[in-house]
Amino acid sequence: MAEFEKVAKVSDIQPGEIKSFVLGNEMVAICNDNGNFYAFIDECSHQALPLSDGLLEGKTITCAYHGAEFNIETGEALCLPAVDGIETYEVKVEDDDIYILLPD
Amino acid sequence: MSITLSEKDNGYIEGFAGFEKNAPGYELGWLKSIREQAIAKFSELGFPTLQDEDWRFTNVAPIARSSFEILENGHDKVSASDLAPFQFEDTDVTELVFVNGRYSQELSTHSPLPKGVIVKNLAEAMVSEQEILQNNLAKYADFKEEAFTALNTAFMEDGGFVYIPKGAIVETPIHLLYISTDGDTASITNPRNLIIAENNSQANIIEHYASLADNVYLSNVVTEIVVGENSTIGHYMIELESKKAFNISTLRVQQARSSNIRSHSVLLGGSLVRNNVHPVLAGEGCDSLINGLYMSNHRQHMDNYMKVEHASPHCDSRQLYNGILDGRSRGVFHGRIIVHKDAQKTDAKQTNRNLILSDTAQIDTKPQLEIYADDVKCTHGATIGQIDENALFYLRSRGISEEASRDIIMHAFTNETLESMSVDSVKNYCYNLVTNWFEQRKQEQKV
Repeated sequence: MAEFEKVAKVSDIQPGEIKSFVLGNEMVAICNDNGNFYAFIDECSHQALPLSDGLLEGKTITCAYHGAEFNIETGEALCLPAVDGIETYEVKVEDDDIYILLPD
Repeated sequence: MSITLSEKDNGYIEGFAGFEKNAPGYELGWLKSIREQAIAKFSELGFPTLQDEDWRFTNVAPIARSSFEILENGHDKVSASDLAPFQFEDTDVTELVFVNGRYSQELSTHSPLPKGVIVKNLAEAMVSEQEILQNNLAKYADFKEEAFTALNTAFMEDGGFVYIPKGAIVETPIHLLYISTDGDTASITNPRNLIIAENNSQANIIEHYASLADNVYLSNVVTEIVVGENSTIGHYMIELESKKAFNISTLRVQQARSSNIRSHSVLLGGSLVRNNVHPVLAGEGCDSLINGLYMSNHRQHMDNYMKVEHASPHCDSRQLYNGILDGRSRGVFHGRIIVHKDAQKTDAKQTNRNLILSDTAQIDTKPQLEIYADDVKCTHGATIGQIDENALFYLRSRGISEEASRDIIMHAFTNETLESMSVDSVKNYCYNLVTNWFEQRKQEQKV
């Protein structure tokens, strides 16, 4: 059964920032949108390059490499060259700790 | 004192400097040179990325971004009874046990062997078998192009050394058992195995990777097997690592004229597993069977990379890999066959079959044939599917329940791989592992 795992501290990711972390056998990107945290797989669905190198504007992340955009809440691909969405993960914040749930 | 390895701040180079001085064989000039070349190459290559064609389906960033420690010792945490679940039913077996990568004499068993056969740990062979090692160690596994092989070659300390002289036939299996134990930090081991079978010899060798705990660690394994003329080697690789562990294994086989290798792998554990198998059929008339079964669940990732190289004429190779994928797991099969210009009359066949048990499991299967000769027979086939509804109906129409019918079909699928194992005790052990895998899956589905 999947469980929430502690991945980072709130203080690690400032508003407007995206950072990547190792969680199990995956790279997870966590971003801070005005104090709300969102997590998703740190691979663009276009060519699997790290989304954490990209630009966060509101709820949209733009891949730094070829300009694909995704909604950080739903994972939906918003423009080419991405056609597939990205996997998003449930986030829980307790005190200064950020927990992520990777479903089984 | 343990040594920490990390990509940050040249951690691997710094760690090597601390490691090298105390490494077995440090006083051997040729070995020191190989290790230093290897760390230089690793530093140059870096870990592979998704932009490398041979790694395009497997992201090793979780390994690259993690820090690992080379532990001092873990012997005191393992007793003989801990090993029982990982041993075969043979009473007569030669078994070398390694705990966290280091040989344990007290846990190992040496049965009588034919005259001239040597089975010992590599660190001891560095003292007593220098000539054989200097002529063979690191001569085949490519540390100049492969980063994980370079890493293993730089940091190799111990592993299995098996030498079978001309004409010797070893009836009992040789078992190399690697056990990982619990720890406070993520550890790394670099097991290095060297198996030399001189002309007209026969043996069966089993590499077995298992864990007593559910922790994070990296097993980065390299095995070199040199098969002499007319020799027959049975090789088994059983991977039962912790569900949080990383296992990267590289098997490099060098085959002389008319030799025969039967290599079987069973992958069941690990979080991220990469199984590289690279036989080179260097002499005329060789035969090579690369047989494998991988079964993944939850978020496991299992990548099988085959590179079968036909370098001489009249050689036969068969790659037969079956996979079962459940949950959100991901499998990869990359079957590469290279037929050199002079390898006329090559007969190479590759088959990868995958049974998907969930909507969220994924498999990437990629055959790759590079043929430079013009009189060859090369075939490849890949299938991906769910349980055949017609087969299910056939069984149910004979009064067999749906659950039992599914069990029969899935077991039959795995048995295709297991049936070709010639060592009965290993085959039976693998049957039990597969049965347990199905049982555990049923238990989890009931929750």
